[in-house]
Amino acid sequence: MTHIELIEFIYTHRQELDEMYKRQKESASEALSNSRLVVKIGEKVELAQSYRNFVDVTLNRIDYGVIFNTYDAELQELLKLKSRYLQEHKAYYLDEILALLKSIFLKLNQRDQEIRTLLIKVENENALELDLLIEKAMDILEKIEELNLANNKIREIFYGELFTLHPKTKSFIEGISDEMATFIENISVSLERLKDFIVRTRKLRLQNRQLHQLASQILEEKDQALEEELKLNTKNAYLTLHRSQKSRIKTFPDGSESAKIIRKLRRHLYEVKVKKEPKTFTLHAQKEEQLKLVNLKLIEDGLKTKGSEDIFEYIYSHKELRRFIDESTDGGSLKEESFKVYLQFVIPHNPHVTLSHHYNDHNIRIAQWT
Amino acid sequence: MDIATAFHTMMKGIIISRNSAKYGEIANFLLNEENYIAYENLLQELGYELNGENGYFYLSKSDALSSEEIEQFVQGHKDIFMMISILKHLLPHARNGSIIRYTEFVTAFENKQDEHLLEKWAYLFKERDQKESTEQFFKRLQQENLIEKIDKSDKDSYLVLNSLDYYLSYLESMV
Repeated sequence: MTHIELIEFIYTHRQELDEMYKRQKESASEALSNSRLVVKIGEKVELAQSYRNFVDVTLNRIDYGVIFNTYDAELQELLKLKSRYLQEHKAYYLDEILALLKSIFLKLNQRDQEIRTLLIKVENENALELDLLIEKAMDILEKIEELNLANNKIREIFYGELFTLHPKTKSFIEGISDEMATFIENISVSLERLKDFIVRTRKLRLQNRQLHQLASQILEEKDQALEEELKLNTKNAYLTLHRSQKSRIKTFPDGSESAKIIRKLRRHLYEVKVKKEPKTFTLHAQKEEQLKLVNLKLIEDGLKTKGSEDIFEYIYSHKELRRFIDESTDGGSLKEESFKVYLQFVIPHNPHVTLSHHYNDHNIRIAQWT
Repeated sequence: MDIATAFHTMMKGIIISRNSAKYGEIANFLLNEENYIAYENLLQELGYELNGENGYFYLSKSDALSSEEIEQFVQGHKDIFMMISILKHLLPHARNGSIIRYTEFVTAFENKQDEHLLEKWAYLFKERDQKESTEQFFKRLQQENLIEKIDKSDKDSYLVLNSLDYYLSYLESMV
């Protein structure tokens, strides 16, 4: 059978071969059974390993069980051929040496691809349990480390023993030196990647175990350690304003106010952006704007004259706010509008305003006017 | 993007993850140091803290939480720990940045049903209808901003957000 006939034969039996490759079928037609693409094992028929290897290598697929042979036998053979060449100076030995150099180089190339494919496979593995995945990754790490040592040995022999043997060996080794350096660099990078992956996966396994344990503690109501940890530093606990509202715990600000707060913040931010020009960032400018809504000056004058232990409360109960609410057609609540005015006094720097760490009955931070 | 928009989102208790498509713009905005400091200063005036951890941002309250708030905060966190525990029980490879699939979750649930898993599930869901409670589970994970859909047209795939690490950081500090 010629090469082209083999290709045609494979094409004719593509469906069967594909099913056998996917291990969905363990029998074959008579024509296929009689070919060397398959082997009979008892009653079953399987793809020949050589065919499977050809497919896997060509399609850049790799199995965790791949064996990374070192190159001891080839290197021994090289040294033996070199010795014979030096004794007898026959061109035959030189040709054999060159063929072997090429063969080793091609194997290095294949290993390089296999390792990179294996790393991608292991890094994206979701089917294996983490214990097994770590075990696989450790195995691969060991294999790559062995291969790394073998590569160093190859370099020693290539450059130390064969480089100066003959101009042809020198030329060949020079021709592949860049690729050789790349393979070695790739192996070094792969080793680091794999070590990082193992550390990350071990951490993931530890977290999963801790979560499992924590869930058990919650179920058994033995979760005091968690509660203590959560209560320890609530300042670092993320805000849950919306959930609070669902549980009727009043917190500030409530959802209905949010849009207005945002509008207010935007206005201030606009002013913060232009604060490099002090003339445009003055309380006066804000007051003019707010006069269209509420007579801020009236409130500010009152604060200046009487002071206040709680600015929000002062504004909230001020007759000017009640007048505004009565006349307003916006539909805003007294609390909403009071808060808008409150922000006018609290956010810009004012030496008379002091923010306390306490919150009033409206759950708004208490600010004093002194 | 501006501080007001960031506040509008974060005041809802949303943890902003850098790898979120939905809130990535806010995260990018806060990665700018100038923006972060301006926002932080403004929030402190209002009694809040801006927290920026590894890959996520969130607001907290400067003042101590009330006892009711603490109670709710603790219970809320317990529920979320239980959800993450279930998620990792069934999809142990899930971590921030990974893709999880609804169908894989359902398959793993059917294959791995053990007593402990069912106890955890019962802690969160009273419904007997497995399909309905699984949908609720994924909905809740999205509401807590732990996962988000990768593509609106893809009903199966979800991205695990960086905010997951907020909860996992508690595990580290409890060791």
